[in-house]
Amino acid sequence: MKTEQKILPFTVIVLAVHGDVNAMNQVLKHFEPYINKLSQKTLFDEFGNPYLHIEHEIKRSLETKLILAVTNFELS
Amino acid sequence: MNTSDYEKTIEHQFDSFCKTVLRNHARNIYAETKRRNERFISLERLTQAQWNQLSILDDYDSDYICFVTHNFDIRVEDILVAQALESLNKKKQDIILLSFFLNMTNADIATLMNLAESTVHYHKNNALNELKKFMEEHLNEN
Repeated sequence: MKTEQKILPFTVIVLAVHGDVNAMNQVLKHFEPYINKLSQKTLFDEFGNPYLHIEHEIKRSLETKLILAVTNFELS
Repeated sequence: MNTSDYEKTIEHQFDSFCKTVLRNHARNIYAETKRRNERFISLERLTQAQWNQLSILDDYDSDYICFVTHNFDIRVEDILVAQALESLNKKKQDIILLSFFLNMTNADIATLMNLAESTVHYHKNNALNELKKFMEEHLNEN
């Protein structure tokens, strides 16, 4: 996952800022690994072993926030 | 600055902008969760006093002894008080019920029952004495 350190192309950014659905999906896709990481929680199973769990509530909330923020992004 | 430079700048700005937004929002969520967890306590760890604030008990008519006076229903919980009230005659009973259970003034009772205020006062005093006597006699029985 670390290998794809690509950056979103300019055209996608412009489209997403203007509310294009496909572009927005691409943005979400691009940041999904980061969102997953932020919504991870270390939980412990009944034997005390730690495991990673993605809180979907947090994930949804982050996605929503990102969409709102993207539409407010200023292309200067 | 040529176009491609400009585009690159925007690309990077956008990238860091999005990451910052996500990071800050995640922080808010963590803080919110933490704040909630601090206030979270198990129901089992509530003290009795806190329990009482949060819970109500059903109350049934059968738990009370009912008196009817001038179209008012009055429910008396304490059995001894109820018995003492039973022992009074109707007029005194009414006066006691109206003044102590419905918080009416002597003047109000007098108008309601068509009596002079002094009569109400007199009956009330008498009734209270009778009640006192009755309850002192029967206190040890229960």
